[in-house]
Amino acid sequence: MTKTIMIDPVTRIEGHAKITLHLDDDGQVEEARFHVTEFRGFEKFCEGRSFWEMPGITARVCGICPVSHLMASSKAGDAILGVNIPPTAAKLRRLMNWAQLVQSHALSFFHLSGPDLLLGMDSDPARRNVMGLIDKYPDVARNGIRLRRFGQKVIEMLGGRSVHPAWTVPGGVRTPLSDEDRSKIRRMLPEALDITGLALDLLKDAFDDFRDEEAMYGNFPSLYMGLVTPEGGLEHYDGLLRVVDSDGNVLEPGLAPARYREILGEAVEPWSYLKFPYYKPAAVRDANGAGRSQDHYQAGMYRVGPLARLNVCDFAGTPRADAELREFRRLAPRGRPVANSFHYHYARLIEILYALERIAETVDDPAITDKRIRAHAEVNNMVGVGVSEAPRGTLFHEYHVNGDGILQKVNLIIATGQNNLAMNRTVKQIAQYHINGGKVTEGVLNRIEHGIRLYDPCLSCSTHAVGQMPLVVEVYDARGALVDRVARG
Amino acid sequence: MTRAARWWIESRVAETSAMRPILIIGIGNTLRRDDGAGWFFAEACAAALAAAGRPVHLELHHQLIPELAIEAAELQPGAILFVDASVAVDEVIATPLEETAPDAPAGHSLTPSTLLTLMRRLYAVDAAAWLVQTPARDFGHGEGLSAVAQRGVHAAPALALRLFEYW
Repeated sequence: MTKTIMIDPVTRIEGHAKITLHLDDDGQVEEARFHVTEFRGFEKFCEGRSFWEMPGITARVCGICPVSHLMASSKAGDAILGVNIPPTAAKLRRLMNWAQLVQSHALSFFHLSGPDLLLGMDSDPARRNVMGLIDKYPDVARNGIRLRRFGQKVIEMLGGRSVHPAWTVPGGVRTPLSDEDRSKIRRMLPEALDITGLALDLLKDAFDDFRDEEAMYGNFPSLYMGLVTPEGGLEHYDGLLRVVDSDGNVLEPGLAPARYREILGEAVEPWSYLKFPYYKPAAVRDANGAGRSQDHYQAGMYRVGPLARLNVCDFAGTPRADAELREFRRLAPRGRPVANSFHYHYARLIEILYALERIAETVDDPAITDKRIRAHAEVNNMVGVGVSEAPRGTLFHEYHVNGDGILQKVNLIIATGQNNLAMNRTVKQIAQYHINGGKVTEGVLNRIEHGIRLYDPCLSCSTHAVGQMPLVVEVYDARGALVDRVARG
Repeated sequence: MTRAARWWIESRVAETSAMRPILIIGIGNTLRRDDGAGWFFAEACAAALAAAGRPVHLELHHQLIPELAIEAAELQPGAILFVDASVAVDEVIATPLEETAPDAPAGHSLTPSTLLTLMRRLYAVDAAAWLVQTPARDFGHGEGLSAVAQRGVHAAPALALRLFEYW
């Protein structure tokens, strides 16, 4: 008799979701699903708005990574205007983007995943949270806050406030960086770098305690996608799209981001609001070329975000990050990507290090305080695509406008959505490893949740599609027999 | 202890406390109508207290963030007021705030009691704290407050002065 186990809600992630595990008669995991249960609708209600408003509107998709939306939206606006923004404006946007990377990754590592890594996956659930971390490792909790504060302060200095700063606009940015703020950033950097070094040591010391997790938390072949510089270096703001397979073969060396539709498709399932982006050239098709249903797109599964970005780039480009990247690559056979999603944690810390080193370089650039920060133009193109790397992965904004700049159509592909297939597969892998004979402990449920936390999903961002709320509720009696089923949508 | 000594000690404590600022933290989103009532209420409290000669530091945020613990550590307030709009109240309510329970879930955003816990346990911020809930009904997209929310905000100055009358 089958049995369903539900984890609802999933804790220590941004947004609302649940996980259902379907067990067969032998108590083995047959199917696992990560359901995103919230609905936003941004793609639809932005129609009829001016593209000028979109940075401000789309930043409000999320309170955690608004900067990412500001970047992608402003770049889409740049394309509609048909402008190359002033060099200083591009440098300032990069500065804010790196600062966001620092604050978001710091929160993820220290406060969201830290309790699992430092207190243990099987520790008392009543204490396995940030409060437990404060009690046992107060210095770690303080370091996490200080590192996040660094990122937030830089964003605030540039944009006037740390959440939803109204600063990047189509054509450039609103205000320059002052000499005073540049000096403040310089003074804050050494502590931020020190904290990151401590975090890297902390994580590496913990590796031995998580060999099982390292081996099978999201350890499966997949494609990887991210932006790279024209030279193949790590990139978060501009550059080209690169796709690499699980053997390290480069499938797409560098596609102009505006052409993303040539390689990416989006599938929909009735049991989740989150769409399923996939790499089209790898999707399985029927002999007649029509494409079947369930298995069609899953062959095009790819991962984005810190792990993927380090897997697709040839180098980082800053000394300390490159040293860590060389060490990171030793986690996989030579020439092959690091496949274990558990190492998203390590990749996040390397990216913090990289971002801090880039911030240090940028504030020393004499041009960073230049006042020429905005290009002005009218609508010159009816379609604009803006792509940047959010902390969680590649973010796409595509706007179609009329001659007055009023939006006719909007498409957003969010980082977390692109990891949807991988998150589902990770949940299934962890569940299959830990659940045998139907016995499920609290620690196992937490491990499954941790599998989701590896990707640091931002569900408020990613559920922006229009649709009827899909919901299936199944009720089982004490013997595990299905007694009722209600479906909607 | 003589009556004179007690008076001297109490006046010194009052004087010391009076020099420490009152930290007011308004929480909400002014683009979601009544959800912004927390901000307006907090602003009105700060203005009333400042007019009465009290040192005040005002913070306005969409949501509580851990870095506010560092701000509090640097400020060393004598008292902290968290102000938020609430659909669960019909009139303004001020409740003394305690630290959070150990098993409370934690995510990207914090509750007032969780933030207070960070302030006290990580940064030894020694301040009395209250959660002020001001009534809210309309959370639709847009600016401006409903009549219910406006009534709550109008009560802000009187509440602030009453809370800190003897402080």
